[in-house]
Amino acid sequence: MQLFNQKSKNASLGSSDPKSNCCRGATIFELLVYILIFSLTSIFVIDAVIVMTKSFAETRSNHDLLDGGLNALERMSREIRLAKSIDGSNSTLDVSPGVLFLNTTDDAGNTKTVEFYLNNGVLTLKENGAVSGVLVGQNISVTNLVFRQITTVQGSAIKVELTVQDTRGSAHRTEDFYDTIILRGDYQ
Amino acid sequence: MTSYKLQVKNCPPNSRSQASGMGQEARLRRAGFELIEMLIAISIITASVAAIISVAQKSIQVSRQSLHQAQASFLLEEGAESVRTLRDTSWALVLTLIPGITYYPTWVSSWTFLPTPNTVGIFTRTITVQNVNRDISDDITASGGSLDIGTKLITVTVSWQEGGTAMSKSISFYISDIFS
Repeated sequence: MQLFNQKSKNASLGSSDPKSNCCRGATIFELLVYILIFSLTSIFVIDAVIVMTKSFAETRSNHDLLDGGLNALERMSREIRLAKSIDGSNSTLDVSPGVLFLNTTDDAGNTKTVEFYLNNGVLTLKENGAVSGVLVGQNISVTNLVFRQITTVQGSAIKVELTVQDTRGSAHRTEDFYDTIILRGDYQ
Repeated sequence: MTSYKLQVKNCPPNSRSQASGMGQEARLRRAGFELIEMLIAISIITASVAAIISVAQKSIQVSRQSLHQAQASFLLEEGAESVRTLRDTSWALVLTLIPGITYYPTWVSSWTFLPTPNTVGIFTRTITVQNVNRDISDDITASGGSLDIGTKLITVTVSWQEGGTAMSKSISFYISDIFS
């Protein structure tokens, strides 16, 4: 604006020579063009930064949700598939938060128990009664975990319903994962 | 920018040299050159930022797609296992599934297969059954041979919309009457 004032002053001083106004006015116009171009570029760049920030947040959120759901369900399906039987008395079936207590065997063939349960939204795995680890990342919370038992003539199966929530940011997006696994060790 | 150039052009050469001298003329020429430089710089910035935005949008698409693919994979596995639970209950139940008809696995205390469409979130899951024929050596054959009532070819398909594009994943497997 200082430049603008100076030029205006010059313009008024030089008004006695009307021919020179065309050249001095060009500087004001030039400034306006500069401001316009600068504003448009700034809007575009700021918009781009906002878009990129949002896309980074969503990509990270998608990654966390995918990672959480995939890890949890892969491990559960593997344990269920290898299990010999479901311990109905120690399991909480058909409601969330569910608990799944399985009787299974380890690599050496010794009997083992495996338990999946929620501890404050964190899906936790217990092996032989001792906490063995958590199955979802620290930015993921499990908001729904239901185990449903299917009893067939030959054995049984478990239907798992899992909802994971991204706890980072303000969106708190959720994603559902479903699977059904037959207990291969329970075939008669 | 064109107007600016026009103004400089319209300005009579004599008045320019009289009013401001040669220094001003040189400065104005220099300023005009700077404007072109600036335009080139802005074009480069705009093109780069536009490219980065398109990459960012593509990354969102791909990450959504990968999440949906994983969910669809579990639904496919569930579809396959649901048919096996039917087999584990009774082979006669598998025989009630008519070849050529599209069934939708539906949870009603256990897995049932209804011809009424149903969806799981954004996903639509279907199951179709095909008869299996075997040749004289008991090998499965695509044409000819005789019908094997103890084996069926099951195809599970999960389809969904991904940003206006139809996506689908499917698996096919044979299921046999191993318990009767």
